Amino acid sequence: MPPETSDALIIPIREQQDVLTARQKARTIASGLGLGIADQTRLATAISELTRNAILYAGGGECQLWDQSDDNTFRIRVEVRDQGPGIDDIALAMRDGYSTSGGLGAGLSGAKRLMDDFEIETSSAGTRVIVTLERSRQESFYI
Amino acid sequence: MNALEQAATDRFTTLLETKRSVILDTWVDQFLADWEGTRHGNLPPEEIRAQSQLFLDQLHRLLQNNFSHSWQPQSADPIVQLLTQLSETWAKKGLAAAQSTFYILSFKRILLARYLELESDPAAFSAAVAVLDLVLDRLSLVVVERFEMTRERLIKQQSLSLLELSTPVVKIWDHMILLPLVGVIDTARARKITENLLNSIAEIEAMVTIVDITGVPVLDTAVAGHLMKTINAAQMLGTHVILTGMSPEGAQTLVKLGVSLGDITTRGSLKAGISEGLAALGKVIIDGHRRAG
Amino acid sequence: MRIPILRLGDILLTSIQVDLIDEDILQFQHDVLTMIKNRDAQGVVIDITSMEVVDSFMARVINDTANMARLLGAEVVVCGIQPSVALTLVEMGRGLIGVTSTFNLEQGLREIERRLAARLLRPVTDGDSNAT
Repeated sequence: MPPETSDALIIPIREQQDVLTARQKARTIASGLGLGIADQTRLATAISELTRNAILYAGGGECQLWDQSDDNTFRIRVEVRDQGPGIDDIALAMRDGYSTSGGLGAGLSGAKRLMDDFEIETSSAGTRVIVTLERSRQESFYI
Repeated sequence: MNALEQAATDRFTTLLETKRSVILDTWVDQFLADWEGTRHGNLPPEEIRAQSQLFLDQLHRLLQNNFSHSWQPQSADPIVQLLTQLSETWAKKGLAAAQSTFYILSFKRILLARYLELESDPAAFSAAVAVLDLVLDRLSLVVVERFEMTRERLIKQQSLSLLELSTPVVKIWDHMILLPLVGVIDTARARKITENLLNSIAEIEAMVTIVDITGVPVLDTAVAGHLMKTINAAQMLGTHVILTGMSPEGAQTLVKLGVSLGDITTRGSLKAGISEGLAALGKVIIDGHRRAG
Repeated sequence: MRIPILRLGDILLTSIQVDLIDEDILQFQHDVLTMIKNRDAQGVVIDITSMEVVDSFMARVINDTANMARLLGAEVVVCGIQPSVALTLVEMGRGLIGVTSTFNLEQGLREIERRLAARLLRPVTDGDSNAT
């Protein structure tokens, strides 16, 4: 299902401070849905990784947040896109410990492990990463 | 659609207009009669009647509007939405799967019987059967599918609550916690266990955490991986982790697989683990029965 | 945003109270190391109770700082890691590898004291300074 752009929360990512804004907004959405502190932290951390990459490799970009929850599932979808040079070798970039920027190289693979769904599209026109956090409404009572 | 099928479709459309109330009555009565003595007490007959009425309306609309062979139930179709909702409710109320299928199949029988009153030509009749098969069989699949999905989800939810119960974190001394692991540990469960454990450790500032794996039947690479993550996270908070209850088979497997438990303190029995933990807290166990001298 | 570093005898105390951007934490790393060197500090306690998010970069800098401080001869303890932060780090396949942690500042200080006491060559009193 393609998300409606109209109800997305869009956070421009230009400088470091925007990384903090993006993850705080995501936290607010997650806690508003009643998700536990662990899930709030997973989401905020994944966003931190992805938006930092956008600044580091593309000089900035955009972070979009959607609450796509339905009757059975809490679902928060995050899209981080940039217009940077793209990733040459995705398989290599996704590999644990790989990094061209001096980070731990855990950025992409870490975000993937924290989230329930991970998609990446990259070309010389830019990179788009979409991650989703999904929790059954029933399950969330226990977290 | 060939001419015969088109004619049959039109005839059904007409039937749904002219015989609407008698079809509805027969259908609902048969359905409720079939449920007699089962648990349909939870479902008010008026509700079933109202929903069935809606179903007739939707079916009428479906057949009227360029109905063809290529029709497939889509989740956006009002008739599909109606049935999925119905099926979900029934599944939650604990009705048998057969009963939900019977709902559609009994309707098919009733409609065909009405059709026969109007038209008894064999060729026309078989075309009519073909049309009904096309619509109602596919719809009954929708019902069954949703019914199963709902049931599976219920079972999953129940096992989740069981899982929660089966991983208690026990405070066995001031600043000492015991996590007795029992059963198969998969990713979902490991996540839950870790979350629980970390919160308990932080809450009482447990200096010692004993993880007892006596009740874990299989220790393979995956389980060892989960275990290591749990232990590493616990250590990060500042607790001293003691692993107890490893079986000889478990030890053999881990070494053969090349899994290293790093610098985790390991003790064979829970008893040894507890005395180790008490020692770390500066407590000593004294045998009260031993006489001096 | 500069993180204050306090001195308690030869131990440095520091507490990260706000959400940090990358430059802040790199500045912090620089400040801690410089202070260890200039003041001949023997121990550092880093309190991260208020950090709600520690991503791979932050984790790396904290790790590195601890290892660098150790190279300069100081003992390092990190205290107050939130359960959800520890969980997230291990789920990402990361950790604060080789860093000692405690629940709170008080325990952190005690742990440093314990380690310093265990250093056999630690000069408790300076015999020469009395002579001059």
